[in-house]
Amino acid sequence: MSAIDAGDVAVAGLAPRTSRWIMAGRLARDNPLALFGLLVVIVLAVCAVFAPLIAPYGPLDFGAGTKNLDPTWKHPFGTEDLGRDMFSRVVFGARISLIVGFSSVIFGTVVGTGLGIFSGYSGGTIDSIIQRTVDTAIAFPALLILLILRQVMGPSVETLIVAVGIAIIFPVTRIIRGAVLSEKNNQYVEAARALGASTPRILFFHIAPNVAALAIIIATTLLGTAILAEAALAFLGLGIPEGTDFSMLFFLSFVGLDTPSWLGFLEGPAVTWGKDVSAARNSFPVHIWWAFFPGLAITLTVLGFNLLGDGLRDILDPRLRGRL
Amino acid sequence: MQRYIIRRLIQGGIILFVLSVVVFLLLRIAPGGDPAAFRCGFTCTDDKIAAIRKEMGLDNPYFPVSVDLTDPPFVSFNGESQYWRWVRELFNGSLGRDWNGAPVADELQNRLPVTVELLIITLLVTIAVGVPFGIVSAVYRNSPADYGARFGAILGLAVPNFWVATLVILIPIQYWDYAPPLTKTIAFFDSPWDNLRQFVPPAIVLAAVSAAGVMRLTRSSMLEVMRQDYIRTARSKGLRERIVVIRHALKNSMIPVVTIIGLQVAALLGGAVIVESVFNLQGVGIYFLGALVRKDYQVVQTLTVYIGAVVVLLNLGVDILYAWLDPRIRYS
Amino acid sequence: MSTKSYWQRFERQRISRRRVLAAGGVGAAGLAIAAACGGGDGGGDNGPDATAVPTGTNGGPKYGGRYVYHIEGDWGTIDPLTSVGFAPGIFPRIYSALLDRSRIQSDVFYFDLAEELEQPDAETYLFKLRQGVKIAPNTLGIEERDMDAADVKSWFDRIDGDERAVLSPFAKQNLESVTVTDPQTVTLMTNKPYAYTLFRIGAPLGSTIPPREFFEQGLDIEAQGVGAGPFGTIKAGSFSESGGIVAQRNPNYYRTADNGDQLPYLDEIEAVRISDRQPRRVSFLDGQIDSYTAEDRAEVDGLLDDVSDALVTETANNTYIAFNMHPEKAPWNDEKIRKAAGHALNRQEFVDLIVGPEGGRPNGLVHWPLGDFALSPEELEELQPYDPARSRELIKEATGEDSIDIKVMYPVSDIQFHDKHLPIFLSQMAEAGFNIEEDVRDFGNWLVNYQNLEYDASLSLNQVYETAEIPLDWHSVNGPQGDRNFGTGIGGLYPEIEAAIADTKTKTDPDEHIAAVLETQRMIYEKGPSFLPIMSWTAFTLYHSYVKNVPTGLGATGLYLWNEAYIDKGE
Repeated sequence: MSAIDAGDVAVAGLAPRTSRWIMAGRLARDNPLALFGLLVVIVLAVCAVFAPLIAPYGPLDFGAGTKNLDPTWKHPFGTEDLGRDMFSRVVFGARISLIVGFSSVIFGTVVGTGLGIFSGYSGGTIDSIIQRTVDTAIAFPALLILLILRQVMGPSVETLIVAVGIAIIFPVTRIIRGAVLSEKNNQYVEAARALGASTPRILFFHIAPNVAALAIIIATTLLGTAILAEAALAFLGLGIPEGTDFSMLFFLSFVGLDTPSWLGFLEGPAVTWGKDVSAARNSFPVHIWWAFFPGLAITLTVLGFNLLGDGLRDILDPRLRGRL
Repeated sequence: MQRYIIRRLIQGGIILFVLSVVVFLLLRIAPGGDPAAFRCGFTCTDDKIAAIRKEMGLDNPYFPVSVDLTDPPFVSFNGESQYWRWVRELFNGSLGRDWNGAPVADELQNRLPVTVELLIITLLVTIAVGVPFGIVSAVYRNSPADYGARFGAILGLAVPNFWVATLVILIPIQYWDYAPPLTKTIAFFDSPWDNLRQFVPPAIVLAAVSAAGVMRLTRSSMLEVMRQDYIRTARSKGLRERIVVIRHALKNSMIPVVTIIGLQVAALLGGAVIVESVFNLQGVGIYFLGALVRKDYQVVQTLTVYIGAVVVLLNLGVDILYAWLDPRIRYS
Repeated sequence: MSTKSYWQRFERQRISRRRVLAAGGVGAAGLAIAAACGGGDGGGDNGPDATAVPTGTNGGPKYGGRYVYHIEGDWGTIDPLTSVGFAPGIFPRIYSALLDRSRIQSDVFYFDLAEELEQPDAETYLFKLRQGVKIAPNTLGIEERDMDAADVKSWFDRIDGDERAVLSPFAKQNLESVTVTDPQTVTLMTNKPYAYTLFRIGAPLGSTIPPREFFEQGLDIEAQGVGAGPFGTIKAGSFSESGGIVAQRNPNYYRTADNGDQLPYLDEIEAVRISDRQPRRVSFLDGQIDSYTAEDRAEVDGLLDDVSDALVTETANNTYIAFNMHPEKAPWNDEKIRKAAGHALNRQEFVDLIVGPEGGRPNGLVHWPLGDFALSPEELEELQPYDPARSRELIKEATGEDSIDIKVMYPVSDIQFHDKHLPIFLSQMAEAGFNIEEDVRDFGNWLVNYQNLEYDASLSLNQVYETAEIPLDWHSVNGPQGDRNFGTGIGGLYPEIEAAIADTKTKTDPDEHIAAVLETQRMIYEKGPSFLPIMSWTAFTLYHSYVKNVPTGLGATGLYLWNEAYIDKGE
């Protein structure tokens, strides 16, 4: 009995695992760029989480080296004009980028998906009001929306996430609504309705699961955009204030919890790449390396997420090619 | 079609009205500081800020009508109000004064040509780069040229424009002692060469993202068209591939591209904020940014509604163009 | 380049205000500075260091040319009544003032529109006006006439009627009357002896006097300007808030050079707005602007690699960032905690890290650029030593704990140096036992809270004070504006300090005034000051070598001397 059970489990477990490996193999072969993207993202995530262990100096330790050094073995990315180690700052900068990127995209996608489903399923006046708003908001320069929201809400990690998240809601709503409209007329939805299923039931059990995959793809493709947006705001001096205390588990404070002490390494000062590029513009004698590495980090991160998003889209839903 | 346009225009008017109220309120509910506080600065006294508020009209109520839910009568009419004053100024074109007392209309008159020229050059670069590379990439699909163009596009979408703009100034001055004109805007007709030296570098930086987008769209649209029956027919007639591409495929694949270029204009305005700051171009973008930081109600409100109007009109224009280019589309 | 260092000048004997004014009255041109400038007689020995040796080898000064400099921010309007932005840099070039104050040594004055001052008593200032201060040619329809007493009167009337005026607080609190006896005589009366009267009148802010036609005829002074200054006409249409301004030579200007040349030499002065440092520096290197104010000594050295023949001038900058505490709120109402904060700050470390040891100096309560009004470095070493261990002891004595939780408000900003002060400040305070809860706000939000005293403590942005008056007022219960806006000091807790601060303002004798300012600072140190200026730095301004006759020592702000500068590109 138990032997048979074990065998069943083994078989049941094996099948998807094999297919997952096969999928990964196929991904690597067909889409080496996506694999590269995945690699970049993993490296970044490791940097962000273990920043204090990877960075040789504290990101705020002035006098870690001589001022304005070019790259050396001791300071692979050089130092900036208070003598702080740029490699350490770039490593710590991954935290803000990733946290703001992920949190805002999750926030924006969840709200946007909900709104899209609601809008598409309701139809009629509500739908057209929402769609007119969304059309205008999408066409309106996103950076200007962000600037206004950020300025209205003030400087902190939370407000920045909400601001970037709000800017993301609009495109998500539009795409999800389109998907809902086509699902709505599918036979299985009509069948469910004929069987007397309530509207919420149809929404949650029939439509939502079918657009979930789509939402995940959109979220991945928007991650790069969100990270770029955060960097641009920081560059313009409207990002997260440099050096303030920041915990990667900042959301625990919403439910009244502190970051547990054994995860203390997730706390540290906020350093942003965009701010460093902005500061480096003013360096003199001209110190190109100071601006170069944080900018390169942004580029690689965004590139990584974009490539990963494209790859994910191709694998999960090739029909979307060209639409996203 | 006419009725469609009229309906869209009415809708646009409603959108702009809502937008104006939203931005008006957003600026005022934001915590801390109105433009009078900025103007008053570090030497502010109670008398002085009161005098400045009065000059700016900030001592008036927000709206011409206020609704009081606690004490009948519910609706009361105020005399002069901030919103009504602003709307009047929007319509009579005076646009009021900014935080520092300078007339907004004069400012825009100086700044609008800067941003418009920047956007025009950016669009030219976008088209000149995006469309040809898109076509080549589609026609020679999976060739090294295709991979190169696609990688370029992916990179263009990933590179932060503020970083490139920073390096575009830092590297030439460091290695070749070269700098574009950075002090003040040079009008094209005063000195065409200096004007272009000033505007082309920021335009190229700004065009990176839009060119990447246009390139990708051109490519996919071209591939889509090349799959169509009439292309197959043309080929089977024995037409040369070049004729097929240029005469038949290109024209139809350009339809979505033309429309997306129209929509790019609005998106580029956001990027203009950044390159104008970096290249010290005194255009509308840098004005918006400065005004926002200083809570300059009048400027932010006015620019937001103007940009909103541009967006609404562009959207409508693109839809009409789309219908005109593609006879299969009918609006009702 | 001037061989005399900036420091030497301060170590020399301070010049009495009256002596300088008297010396000025003697000169033919009526200017203390004129003699020094021409490298002539002994007036320069005690006078401000304004050595300007024409360095051009091919002959003397040349007429013509345009000098282009940069401003960093918004103009706003160019109405001298209200403008406090970057417009003041241009006002003394367009308009005349009764007096012009040295930007380097704030108790040195030059006569301009006035050529004589009599002070029958401590409250009366009788100005005799100069004849032949003639308004520049213009298209506004203002007659090319001499400026006279009616212009002065109409200007003070305007200040009186507008609470937005820069000089409004002075007019309200101190000015009793402005009377015209004849076209060449104006008498200002203050309501009590007020030591800073001439500082107020001689500042470039709000005190330059436009022709009265502007107000009689309702001309638009917010975008146009015509005056009797050296560059008395604003080129039509050249002013825009976003761009710049071009001021053109006034052929009627009253001053001549020692060799009899009609001044000024330059045809035009242009200010362009470049708000970011990078384009500013690049456009200087590229020769698009003629002068550039560098961030620190290191930047100057870097720039000199590229433009080795540039002239460098040094000016002490009256700017600093300060830490202020609300002395009526816990824990800052405790003298010990305030003193602990004083010992926590290692001001020299700020200097070393931010501008380098040569670029600045630690500040006492009155910042060092004010010269004799500031306490000597040696005395400051005793009054505010850096001693984190002492801070911890004081905290222990006051609270019984090893450290104390405080909340510090500060603005997000990219204002010069603030970014760099912040991490140093935070780490020094932590070192001394202060656990800081950061309260970061957007600039506007911070400003409003700052103004309304809604803070426990604040790391505050650039304070710019050209006299000792406001630095001391920070310690008065009524704060720097005299009405409890922005700050409040320990004068509310210690009446003797409040009285001493008020007393300094009545000392119209320069020596008594300085003694009172120094003594008051010592009194405040005893009780634990609640407002701590951190450090001030030196501004280094570079000029391309083709700009000749640059008034060295006075830096970019030596506006008055620009009459004699000229441009010679050897063409």
